[in-house]
Amino acid sequence: MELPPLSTEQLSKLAASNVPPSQLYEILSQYETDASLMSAGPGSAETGGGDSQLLSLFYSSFFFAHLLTKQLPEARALTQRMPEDLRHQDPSLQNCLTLLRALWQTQHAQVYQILRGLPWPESLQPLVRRYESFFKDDTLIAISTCYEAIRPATAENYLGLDPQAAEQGDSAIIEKFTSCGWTWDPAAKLLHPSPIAVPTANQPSSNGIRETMALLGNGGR
Amino acid sequence: MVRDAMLRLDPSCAVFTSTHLLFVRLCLRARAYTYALPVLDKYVCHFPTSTSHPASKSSVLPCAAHDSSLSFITETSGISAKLTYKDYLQYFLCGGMVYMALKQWSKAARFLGIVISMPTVGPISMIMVEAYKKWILVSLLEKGKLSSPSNLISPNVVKVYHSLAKPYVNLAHSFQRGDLKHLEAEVDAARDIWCTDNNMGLVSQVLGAYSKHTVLGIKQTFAALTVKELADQASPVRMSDEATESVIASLIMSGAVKATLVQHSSQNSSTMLRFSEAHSLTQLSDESKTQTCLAWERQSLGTLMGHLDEISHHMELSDEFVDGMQKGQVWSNTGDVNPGIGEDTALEIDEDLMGLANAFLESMGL
Repeated sequence: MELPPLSTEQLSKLAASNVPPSQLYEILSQYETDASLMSAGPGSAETGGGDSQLLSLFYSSFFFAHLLTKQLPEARALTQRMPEDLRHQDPSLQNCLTLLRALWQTQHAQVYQILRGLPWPESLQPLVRRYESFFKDDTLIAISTCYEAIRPATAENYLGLDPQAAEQGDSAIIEKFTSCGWTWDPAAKLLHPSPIAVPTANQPSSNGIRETMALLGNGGR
Repeated sequence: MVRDAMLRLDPSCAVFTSTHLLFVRLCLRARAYTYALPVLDKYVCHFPTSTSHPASKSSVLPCAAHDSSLSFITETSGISAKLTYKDYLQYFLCGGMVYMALKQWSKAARFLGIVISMPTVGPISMIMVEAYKKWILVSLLEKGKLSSPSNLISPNVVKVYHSLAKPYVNLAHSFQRGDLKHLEAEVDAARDIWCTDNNMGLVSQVLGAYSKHTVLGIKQTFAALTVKELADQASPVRMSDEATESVIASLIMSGAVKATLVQHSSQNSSTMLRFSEAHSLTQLSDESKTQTCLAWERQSLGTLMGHLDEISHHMELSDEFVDGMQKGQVWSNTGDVNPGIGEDTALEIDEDLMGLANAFLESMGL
């Protein structure tokens, strides 16, 4: 499919759209060649030309597309592919690097602080909000299988909510957890997480397994 | 663009060409690792053949319908430059490095395993030694121990590898002994070697993976213990209980350690770590992963078998041919002479067939 040329408008449209993360990643990866040529060409970001805003928006959006598709090592590689001058000077890309560090070190509280507190460009805001929601949901699923019993304050810390409100047993916050199937023990003041099932696409049929075992059994013939 | 051209020309990417190496090198240099995966994830099963099969000119055209890409990717087709065994080794070394960058350790180990088990008649190549060094580190990162090398590697070659990669072997032994101080001392002592070999990043990751493998080691002894007890057992450096719990929670969340944490209402009581998988959903998720893996294995096994049949056909080792050979043996035993096929030849080919099939399956990690 022919894509419109790489432009700030096109990137803003993509960031605001609700395309699935894998599709967003695919589209943006097709623009990377254009971005590389742009950064290496005359009037480029390296030489202080006028495309730095577009390049910054492209690389920041592509960075978030990596995060939304859970490709952390590749997101790190992307930060090394960015034009070096732009990476050092652009505030949005600097924010991306800070975020990457926090994610790499699994510092959940810091991740929320970076996503909420740092100044992100207006056109990138939809992607930042989308990733925050994705990260929160992903963490909720992870802690629901990781903990059998958890203090509300710890859960709040993981999910970027207000730990003080949780410590005081704020019913609204407790309700957020119980709505996910968790149970609340008011006497012990502990939450008991219930694992959240994640539907997986294209479950292979039992016939497939039978065929695999047959292949292994007769040497593939 | 290079990748798209390769996949368009030969969707199976099963015939190794000089473009394979060029492409993976480019991806490695540009740090565009994911871009290499559609090619790397496909099995290389053939080299361009020197003799083309009798066919009409039109069927040699890549755009014509082909049973196999082997029919139009030949030494004379101009699609690939002349290949040497070093190209083959470099492709798998670079491919292994791409997988390492993406932390796909088992695939990296498979690629490096192909390099180190390359048959040699003379001295071993430096590419193979380099691959062996990386293979040791990848083994530690993947399994927490030094895996035994493939049976395809002769014991003499293993001895040469050991002597040329001594600091790496020592590092692996320290890691396996579970002695963190000794491990850190080994890392410091050979720092120059890791830097010269460009393996410092991997060695740092080995140090980082120590805590994960220590927790996995403790799992063999304890069913449950408090985070405080675990910190005492696992690390000589005292961390706060909160920091230790955070590290363990990250390991569990990433799926590296299968366990659950149980907090107490009081912050002063240490959190309990249970290694039993309490949640049935976790087991279900594991089963689902296994099911997906099996489906993938089925697909790749089917593809491999197709290629193996093709190799058998090209090498005149097909079932029909072997049947003919066996008949030839019977005739020669009964006194009849089967022109062109001697008994010895038939037996040799029969043995070769088994050897080839075993070596092929082993090299593909099956």
